[in-house]
Amino acid sequence: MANDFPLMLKSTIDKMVNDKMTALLDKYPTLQWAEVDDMAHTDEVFKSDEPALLWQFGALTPRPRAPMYDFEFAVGAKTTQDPGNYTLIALLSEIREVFAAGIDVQIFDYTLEATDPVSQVKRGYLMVASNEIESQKFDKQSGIRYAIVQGKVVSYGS
Amino acid sequence: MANLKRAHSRFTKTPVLGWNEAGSVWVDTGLRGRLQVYDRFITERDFGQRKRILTIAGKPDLPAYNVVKLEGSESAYLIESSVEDMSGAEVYATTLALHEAAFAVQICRKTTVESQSGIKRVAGEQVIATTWVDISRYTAEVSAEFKATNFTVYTVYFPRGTPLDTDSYVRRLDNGEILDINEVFQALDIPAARCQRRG
Repeated sequence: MANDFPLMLKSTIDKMVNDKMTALLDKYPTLQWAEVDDMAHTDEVFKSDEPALLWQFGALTPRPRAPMYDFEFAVGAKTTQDPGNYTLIALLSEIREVFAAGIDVQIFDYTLEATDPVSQVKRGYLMVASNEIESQKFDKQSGIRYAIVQGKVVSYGS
Repeated sequence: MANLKRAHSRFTKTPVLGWNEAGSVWVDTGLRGRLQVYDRFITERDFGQRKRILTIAGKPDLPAYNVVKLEGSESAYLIESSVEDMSGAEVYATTLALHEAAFAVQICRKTTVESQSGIKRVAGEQVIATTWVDISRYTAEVSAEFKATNFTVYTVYFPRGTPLDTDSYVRRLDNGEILDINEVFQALDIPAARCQRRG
């Protein structure tokens, strides 16, 4: 595995969530997003009462051995003042759809600046095996619900 | 009325210089004032050693000058408020509250570039303004994570019209310390902020 493969994988997940958020802005004009391990940004998003998409890069484990890996990450949503959690579940369904079980995704380097040409070099391949909704969580007034996405990923090397 | 203004101007002789930020020079504003003593509290912590009252004959063009100093003096002042003295329908004098700004600072914010993934990364720093401020120690704040750690919190007073938000920070030019802005509020006509010293 090239040393930067986890970063390539993460940037691909970041881009998929960002693309989904952009697509949802017509329906949810105040929608935000937060990569929950980005502490400063997450703090800002959680202090807001606007809805948000959330995600968190989890595990990447060689199995049975490199260049094949098991991966796991979480995607979800946060809402406040959401009677019956209807908006929360609707947003969760939207983001789960991006990583539905059975889909496959080519991994590219999306860490380049937005003004740079898009890299055409395939860095790997991701296939989602499962996408399961977890029980609801809370942060003060916010309801949070994640889905755990698991599957296999293959690195093409550098 | 004109007599009142003329009579007032007989006592306002001190030249007032204004800070021209674009040229980083002090320029003669053409205004002449008279300095008065002020001995009340100016903040939650400070007595009036850093605050003066300046009276000016007539109605000066204040928006052009947010930081002033008096010719012959080294002290820079923020114009904290202005009050018109009127007789009939005419302003014959203006009373300015001056707040001494002893610290030269840069007001900065991080610049970011957006990657193709949509994640923003810090790319550098933008200096929004180089100006004078007043820095007043406010309190020590106990860290929420490390009980033995205290943070020094300051109140900083800025010139009128300074663009501030909690993404900005202040770099002192006298000792290089950086003060992160946690809260922005208004104090009379000037913006103020609670800041935490970094490090």
